[in-house]
Amino acid sequence: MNRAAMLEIVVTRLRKDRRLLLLACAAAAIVGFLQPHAIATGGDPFARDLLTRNVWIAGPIFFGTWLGVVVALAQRGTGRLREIELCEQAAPLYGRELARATALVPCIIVTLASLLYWFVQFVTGLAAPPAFFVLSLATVLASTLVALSATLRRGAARFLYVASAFGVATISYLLAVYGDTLGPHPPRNAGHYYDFVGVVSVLVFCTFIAFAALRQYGEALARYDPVPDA
Amino acid sequence: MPLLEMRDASFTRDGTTIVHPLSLHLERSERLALPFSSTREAATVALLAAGIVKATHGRVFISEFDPRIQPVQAKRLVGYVPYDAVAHEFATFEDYVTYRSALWAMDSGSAVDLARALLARLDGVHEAFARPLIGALVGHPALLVLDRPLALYAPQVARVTSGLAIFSTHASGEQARAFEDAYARAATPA
Repeated sequence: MNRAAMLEIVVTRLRKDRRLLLLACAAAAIVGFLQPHAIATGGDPFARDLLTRNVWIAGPIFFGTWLGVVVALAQRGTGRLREIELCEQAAPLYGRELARATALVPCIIVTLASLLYWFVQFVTGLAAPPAFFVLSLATVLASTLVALSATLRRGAARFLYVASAFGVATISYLLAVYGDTLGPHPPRNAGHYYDFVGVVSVLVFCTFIAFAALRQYGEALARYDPVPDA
Repeated sequence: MPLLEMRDASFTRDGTTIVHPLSLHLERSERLALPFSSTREAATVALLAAGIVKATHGRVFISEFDPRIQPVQAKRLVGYVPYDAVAHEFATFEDYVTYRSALWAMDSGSAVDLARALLARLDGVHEAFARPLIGALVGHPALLVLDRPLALYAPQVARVTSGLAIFSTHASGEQARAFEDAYARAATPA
């Protein structure tokens, strides 16, 4: 696929999705503003570290995933982009090429929404450190890519892909918050866990899931038969 | 080698046969207007002929290409015109042609020029049909697949498709005959 085709698909779809983009960003800004900011004080510093991570990570990951699923499901089969979908299906493009181009659109939308979420938190005084924001973003992107395959399925299979997207978010959340408890325990006076195990495991997990999900989406798109309903 | 060949091609979904086994042959520059028992079957056969839907049983060949194995090569030879009145998802006609030319890896300037020339020759055709027809033709297909075209537009279609192989699907024998007759009358020099 040439770059012009990919760019044209992305720009055309983004133009059609501009309301969705605005809604996603507005929702992210509001939820980022309203999210509880309380950080536990006192008590065991390591337990406090886990609670702090939870405050940093839970909101962005689960809200971002929900947003990613909604944006992904809006990408195909809703009748909203029928002319565009027909052009793409009729065009001399391989399924994997089309998958890459069309997957970029929800990824761009959720990335902008996640950035806005983080920015609003930063302005209101409690944003996750950049490393944890990257973990949230990686999780949201991976679960969005998983949810994309739901647009090509119906019934239980569709539900399964949506559930898998939330499953990815849950595993990623557990790794990010509790992963470091499995690694080397820092000295008592350090006051918090090392970040290495959590950060690396989430990034590796999300990279693997995103790669597999995009590949699966490409395969499914190549086999997809857009037959009209009765 | 025929430009379009179906060998007992059928399509089934969830246990329901949508397209019953169908065999056909279409050579270059030939026309074939086929009636079907339902609009869904007619629409699906058009999608099969365009390489967009793959047969669940039997084979479909577009020239020497099997759309299941060589979808890109097969789709390069076909221009597909859907039946449905299209939503206006592009701000202008030029935007639509530019979009299509990018997907077909063509120069957008010459595609827009060709599209404008075709539009001028499709006087009286509703935009909902003219736009996808022009979109299909700017890709320089060898085979044009029309999903349930109106006989009313056959003369204008004949004006812009001389030399192309045309395969059209219809929801009844009467509609197929009406389209074929109107096209033949328009294509035959007075």
